[in-house]
Amino acid sequence: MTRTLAIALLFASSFASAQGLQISSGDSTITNAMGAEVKMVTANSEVSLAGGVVSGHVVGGATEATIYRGLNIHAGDVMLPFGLMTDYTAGSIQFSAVGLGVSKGDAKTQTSWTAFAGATSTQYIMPFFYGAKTSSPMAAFFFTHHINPAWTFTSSEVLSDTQTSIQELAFHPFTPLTFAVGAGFGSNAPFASGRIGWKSEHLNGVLNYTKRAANFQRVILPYTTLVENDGLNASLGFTSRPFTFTADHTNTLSALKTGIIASTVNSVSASGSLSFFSANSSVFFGESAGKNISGQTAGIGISEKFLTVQTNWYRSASGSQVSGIVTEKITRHVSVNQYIQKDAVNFGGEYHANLITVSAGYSTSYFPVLDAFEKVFSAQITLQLPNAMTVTGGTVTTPDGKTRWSVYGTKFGQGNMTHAEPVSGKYEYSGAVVTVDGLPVLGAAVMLGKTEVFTNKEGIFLMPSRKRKTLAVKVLVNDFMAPGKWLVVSGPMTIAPDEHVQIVVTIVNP
Amino acid sequence: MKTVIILILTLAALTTAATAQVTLSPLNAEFGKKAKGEFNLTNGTFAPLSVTFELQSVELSNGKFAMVDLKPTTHVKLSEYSARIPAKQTRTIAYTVTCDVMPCGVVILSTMATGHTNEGIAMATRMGTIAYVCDKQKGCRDWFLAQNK
Repeated sequence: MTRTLAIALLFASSFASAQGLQISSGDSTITNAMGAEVKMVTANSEVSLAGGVVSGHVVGGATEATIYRGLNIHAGDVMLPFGLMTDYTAGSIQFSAVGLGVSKGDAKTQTSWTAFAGATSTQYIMPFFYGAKTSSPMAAFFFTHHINPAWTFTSSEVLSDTQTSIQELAFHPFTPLTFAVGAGFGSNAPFASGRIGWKSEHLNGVLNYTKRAANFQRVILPYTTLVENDGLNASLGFTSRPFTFTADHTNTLSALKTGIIASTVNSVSASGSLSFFSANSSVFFGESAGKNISGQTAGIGISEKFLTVQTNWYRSASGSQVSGIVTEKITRHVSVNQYIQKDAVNFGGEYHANLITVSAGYSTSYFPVLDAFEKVFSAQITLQLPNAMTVTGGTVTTPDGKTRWSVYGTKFGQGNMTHAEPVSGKYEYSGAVVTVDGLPVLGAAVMLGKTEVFTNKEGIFLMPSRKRKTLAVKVLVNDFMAPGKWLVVSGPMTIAPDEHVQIVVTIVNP
Repeated sequence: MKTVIILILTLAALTTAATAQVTLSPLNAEFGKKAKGEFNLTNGTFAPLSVTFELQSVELSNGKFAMVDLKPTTHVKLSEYSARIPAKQTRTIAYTVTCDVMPCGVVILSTMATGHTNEGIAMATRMGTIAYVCDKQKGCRDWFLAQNK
């Protein structure tokens, strides 16, 4: 893995002068995947190629997105949104496909549409790599028409091994309130749904009723974890500055490889804070795949400047437990924490700066597969290296409670670039960049020693420094924010702390 | 010099601070007497981003926010006054604010060149993060708004 990462980043370095080029490479134990992606961006298009190995199988992917005569064109691996206005959770469903898609929105006619032809697919998506395997041939057409400010009509059509056609109508009488109804069939199975939604600053509510055949699916995919609601679903949420409350009742059908899993979950949660004191509590219970599930949590905490103390109680079918976390903020860059459970104390911490951000620590999470709350270790590290190179690593805990990790590097190339180090300190270098007419120049670039600074709208540049020494001055006319060809008329060769210098420039090719 | 006119598009500081895949957070912060804070500027684009930071005082005028020249009673120090943020990277800027008169509000404006028109007019975007400073941190923004009505 390390060798792959190093080779890819070395490869990337040779493209440092290219325009809008991104190369990523990495490894992950989440899906036993390793691979790389090359992405190139131009003024009107974005193209990417990716390839790698997932669980011993070679997979590859390619995408191109461009705009041609007002049409948005997507080719290759895409995620097609297939949300319905009657969905209990709006906008949450999309599916993967490979092919050619064209979409357009027209403000004049208040219509938008997307047409797609290709095949359904199974996609593997990591931060550094993606790939897909095609499945069944498929064509789709999605159409939306805003009849007037109050009424909206949508039509969703999918042709594949089975057919889907769903028509919907929404009524929006005034701002917080929306009604929507829809009906049709999905994968040859009947479907009907209705939704009433209320969304205001403090109060959110959804009432949904869906009637669907057991074999209803919007699109049949080889591997999917799509969750569809069925029967009565309702939620109510209240949010204010010191207090939040939510209550949910959901009936879902999850399409898994092993079959359809039916679940009914009821949950209530509340949290509030007053001055330095905060408290939270949640309860959920219901049934999933014929098994009863339940859990309760409660917690209190205090937070005062540099110190935060939080203690939580968890209860599930496997028993109950109490844990506590104490966090001390040492400086604005450094904090440390202690996770306490029974007689054990685990230490963690966080360091945050421009070059590196690293955190590690423990928390408690609920694992549905285990129906239990477990202690979870998590760690994240991000390095922002010079010349637009980033290295990221971190852990992820899977639903069965196992810790997996990923590490990947990304290199961006966009022409020669000077790296500016973050600066601070008690000494200050300053100066002005003006034209021969004495007018200030905004965005003039000046190199002071090894640091590049820019002028503000008054033409002034300022640079704090921890060290008191004389620095070389160089005007970087090619880095000026303002367009045109600039020349330096006069300016100093060096600058000393607390000295205010003046640089005169002129534009020769506006 | 006409072609070097900078067209500044000033976004209201309290609107969503996201343009051209550049994000700023937090949009505002409340402090007690000792105001030491920081904000993050993320360059989500594939090109390096040149940014200058400028300081202005905020006040309410006829019930609306207004940005005015930094008041002489307000003193602000930044960790840096300009920066070049590489592609897809985040820069944290630290600041300290002290006010002779409480409450006070300061907006730190991040000014970025975002291209230019075919006529050569440079386009720049400004996004701001506001620091409210009061005797007590809790409820500082509300107190600032009440005092400046």
